[in-house]
Amino acid sequence: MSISIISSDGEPFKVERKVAERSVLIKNMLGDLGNDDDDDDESFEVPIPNVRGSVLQKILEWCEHHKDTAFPDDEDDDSRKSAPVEEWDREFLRVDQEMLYEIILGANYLNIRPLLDAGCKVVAEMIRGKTPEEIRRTFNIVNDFSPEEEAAIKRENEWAEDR
Amino acid sequence: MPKRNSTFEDPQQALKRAYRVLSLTDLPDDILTRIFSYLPQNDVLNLMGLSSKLVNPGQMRLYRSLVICEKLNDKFYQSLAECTGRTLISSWPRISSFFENIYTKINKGRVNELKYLEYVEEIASFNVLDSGQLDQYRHLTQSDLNYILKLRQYWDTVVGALPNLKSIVLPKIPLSKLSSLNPSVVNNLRKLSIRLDDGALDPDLKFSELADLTINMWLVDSSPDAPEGHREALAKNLMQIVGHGGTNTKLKSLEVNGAFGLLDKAMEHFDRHFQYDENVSLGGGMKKAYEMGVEYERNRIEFGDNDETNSQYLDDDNDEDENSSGSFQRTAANFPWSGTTLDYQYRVYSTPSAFILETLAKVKFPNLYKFVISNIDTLDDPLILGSKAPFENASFWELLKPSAELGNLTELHIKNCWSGEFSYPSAPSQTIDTSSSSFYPIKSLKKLTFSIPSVSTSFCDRFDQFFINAESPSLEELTIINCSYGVYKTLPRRLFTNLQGFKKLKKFTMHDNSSRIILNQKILNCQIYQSFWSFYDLTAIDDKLFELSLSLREYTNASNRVDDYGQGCARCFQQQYLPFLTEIEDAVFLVFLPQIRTICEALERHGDIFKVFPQFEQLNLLGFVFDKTDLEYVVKKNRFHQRIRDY
Repeated sequence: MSISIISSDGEPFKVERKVAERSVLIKNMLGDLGNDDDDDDESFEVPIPNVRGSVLQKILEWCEHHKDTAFPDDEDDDSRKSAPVEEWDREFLRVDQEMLYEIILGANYLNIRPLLDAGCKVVAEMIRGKTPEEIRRTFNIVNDFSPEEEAAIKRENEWAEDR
Repeated sequence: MPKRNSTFEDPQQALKRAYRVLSLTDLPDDILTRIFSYLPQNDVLNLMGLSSKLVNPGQMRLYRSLVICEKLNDKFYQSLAECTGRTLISSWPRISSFFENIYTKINKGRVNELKYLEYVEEIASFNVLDSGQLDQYRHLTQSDLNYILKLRQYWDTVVGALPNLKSIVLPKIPLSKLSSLNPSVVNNLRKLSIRLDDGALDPDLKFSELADLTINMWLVDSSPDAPEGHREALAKNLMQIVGHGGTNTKLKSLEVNGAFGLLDKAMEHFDRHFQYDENVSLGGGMKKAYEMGVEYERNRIEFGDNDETNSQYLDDDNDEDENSSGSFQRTAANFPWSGTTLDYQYRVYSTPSAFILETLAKVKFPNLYKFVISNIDTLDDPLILGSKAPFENASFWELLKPSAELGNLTELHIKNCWSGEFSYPSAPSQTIDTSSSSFYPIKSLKKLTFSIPSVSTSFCDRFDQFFINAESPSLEELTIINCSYGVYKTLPRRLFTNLQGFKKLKKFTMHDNSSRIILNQKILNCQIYQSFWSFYDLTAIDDKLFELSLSLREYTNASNRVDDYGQGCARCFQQQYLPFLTEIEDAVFLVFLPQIRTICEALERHGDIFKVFPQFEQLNLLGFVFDKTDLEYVVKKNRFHQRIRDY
């Protein structure tokens, strides 16, 4: 079976079923079509209206690389959270911020949990240990608080300071 | 690589895109919450102060899972919260202000300001509300008591206002406290760890969704001598939680814990309050290092820097000179392990567990995948494990049989279980003989933990026999806790001889509380040997090593915990302590050299470790993790021999 995944801007990507099925969304879609036979000549087109071509290409590159990877059980939340980002993934996600966010959004839409986790961890690492001013600069975040609001937020969450 | 059929982007879309740059604050709340879940709470607080768009996801992250700890700056709970995305409410003033604030708003009818309470899914505390009876090391002050009383005043109202609680982990709080919660909340709980008691439970509490249960038995008297009606009330409450008409298909994980945190508290206390004692051996390495340091400094001043003069001290291992300077005394006193013995007394309070297991065994748990029994002293009770095969009438096996027969039972953890009231160094040989001959075959078992303290050398083989008798061909992770130093030294033989039948073994963990202080001392000694030459100022050595000793103590306290605080895995703490572990890496490798060396020698006879255990991934020795890359490096590139030469 050949799968053609169509991006939001109409770009088709031909991939083998195993690669496409890294996405739980596509896997379920194919399952719903009732075709479990990998060897027949039938071809399927899967439109992905939320992900543009260049992002989809990156995501499929990840799927291709990890087509045989066995990821740990989704239910084990603690070990999933504490697992470091794999070296290949880290290198793969060394892209500009906008592309990184689009990969995260794409992985979320396509339900590719390990890619979503890796992307979120990479963003978290960009934030970790930085001062508020450094975070503001790195992510270009505009302050939309009045001084009173800022003080109120701080006061309300004082209980969560752990040091 | 996927094949790409290139097409041109619609110009209008391209134009739109050109004017829209996606930024962090454009991400939807659920994604931001997920990103924040990988961040320590202080970073999340920083983010929340930057933009109004980050406030809601920040709150969702902060309130999702709360861990309450009355101590400020408790490193273990800080690391735990950090690596699992939980939020620590630490120190009494903060706990009190958190609860008081919510309590006041509820009482004044300002519930519309408490939307964030909907985000709370888990509340956990492993020591709070502890009146002092339960922790033999704790001395409550008047201020503690005031805070405890205040918290008790707020508790029911605040916890009762959490509509989406899915997990309550309060091992020291009595079961009857749940009656103050809305039954719909209790009936929706997925995880519960609570102290069993005989207080009346609201009959509307059905616990119908409970998948993960820990029954704690601190101060629970389930002996036949208990006051009239007490045992019946305990059994009634237990059945109300798990009974489900005789078959409970929801429960997947069950733990019976006699004294939650007892061994961990004992070890933490011992490490933290260890006092230097002149009559106890200092440990030759450290003493020698300091003498060399003092001597080196003197030589440097008197004779100038001369390598030959200094090197004689390195070779002189048998120097018995006790002439130590004042600075040496002060320095030595800084080290928590600067003198130690193996004389441990882990006392487990008597908790006749047979009754609890008998009661539980009346229910069938066909979907149970994990069973844990911890901190009990009656493992050799015939009612628990049985005396000899067959296994009938042994409640332990009766309890596990339904899920084992269906192939669902994959984890069994027997932790800190004792034969009677047991004092080191007696060996519970009878227990292990009894157990090994009556072990019910659990073919689906993948993870097994076993800890019964012993120092007997032959114990090691009987111990492994236990696993082999378990007929567990699927075993992937094996953990042995609190065996003697002798057993730890026999690691390679055990791996290659006793356990080589377990072809699917992936992780092998040995935690050995009685030897961890010695181990830490050795690591420090290695550091001293390695670093003292580079310091001309002895005070600098002292400061550096004192800091190192504190980190080492914190790390081993964190990574050797017996009970489950939600710590996930050893990797979790490895990540937290990475810079520190990198600093001491050489010393750790050096300390484990004898074991690894023997493994290398054994490899020559048995072949590659990865041929004996093709799926082997991780060796965890006293909280120090050696993964496949480490082991391969050692085996193939002779890393250790190189390191030894470096030393």
